[in-house]
Amino acid sequence: MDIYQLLSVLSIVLSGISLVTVLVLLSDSTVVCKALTWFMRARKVGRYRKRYLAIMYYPPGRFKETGELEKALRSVVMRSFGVVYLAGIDPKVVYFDPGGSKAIVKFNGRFKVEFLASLAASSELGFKVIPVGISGTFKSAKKKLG
Amino acid sequence: MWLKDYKLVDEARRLGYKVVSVEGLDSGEASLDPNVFSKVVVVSDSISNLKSALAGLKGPKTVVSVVPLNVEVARWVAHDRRVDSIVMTSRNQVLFDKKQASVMKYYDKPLEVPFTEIRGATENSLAGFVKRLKLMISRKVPIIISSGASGILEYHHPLVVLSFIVKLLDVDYEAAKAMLSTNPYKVLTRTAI
Repeated sequence: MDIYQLLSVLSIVLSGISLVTVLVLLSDSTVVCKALTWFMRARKVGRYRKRYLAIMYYPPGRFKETGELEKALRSVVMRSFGVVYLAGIDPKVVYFDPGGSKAIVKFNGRFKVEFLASLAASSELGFKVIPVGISGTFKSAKKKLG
Repeated sequence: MWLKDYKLVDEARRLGYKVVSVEGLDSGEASLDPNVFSKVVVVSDSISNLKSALAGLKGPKTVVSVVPLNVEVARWVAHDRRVDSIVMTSRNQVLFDKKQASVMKYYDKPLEVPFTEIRGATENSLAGFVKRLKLMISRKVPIIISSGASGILEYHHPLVVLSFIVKLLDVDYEAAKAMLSTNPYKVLTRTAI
């Protein structure tokens, strides 16, 4: 490649970079931030911001294994909000202590209010779920359970 | 929070409720704990019966609630100073119209709705509850969501009740929180004085 050709390519690249810089400086900073956030989120399509709900249940000893509790929670959500929200909330029991009647449930954080509201239907199925706390990590959820 | 059994007071503390009112409590039990109030619920379909029922009922730390069963009683009870709240159930919800809302607003009388009534309502009844509660909210009538629980399973955590109210009535968190804490607390402080 000729030296002149190389210099012309370099000048095109540099002018492109300077044009983008000028646009960013002239335009509103919030617009740029929003565009960046959108770009970052676009990469995470299909993933959700998970949250961990530490719960206690009553009566003690009602559930013997993880699957049983998970099935009961799914039926509670299904009863309150239907299959569309059940797919969105997607509750999964990640920790289960049958002795202390405690558990940690992983769910989609976007549906926090819906999930908590649906727990009111648990009394119709013969048990009660008491939320102890919601956290972003499993470790802190376990800390809340004590 | 309105409870129908004194045994639920311990459960109330476990769930994080600070002050409760219990139905069917004698004065001895109420005076033992400063955070436990006595509650009397009067169901009435005639003004004369209600007048005789309310006579001598109001005492210290006693919350008086009335379940009106017809329009005359509902209008009359809205301006009676001995009555602390008017209870709406699935049986009498048709009485709570615009006129009732304006009377209750004028006399600053709170509307009490037991959570067990909302949870146990049929589809049609629940739609009626939502419609009338939204009307009362728009007319700025103070609303109290009490538990009305008679068993442990019916007694839910405040966060669960709050989320349910937010979703059901489409109100913000602050408004829902006022229904659970600020409005009932105002009634209880008025009663304690």
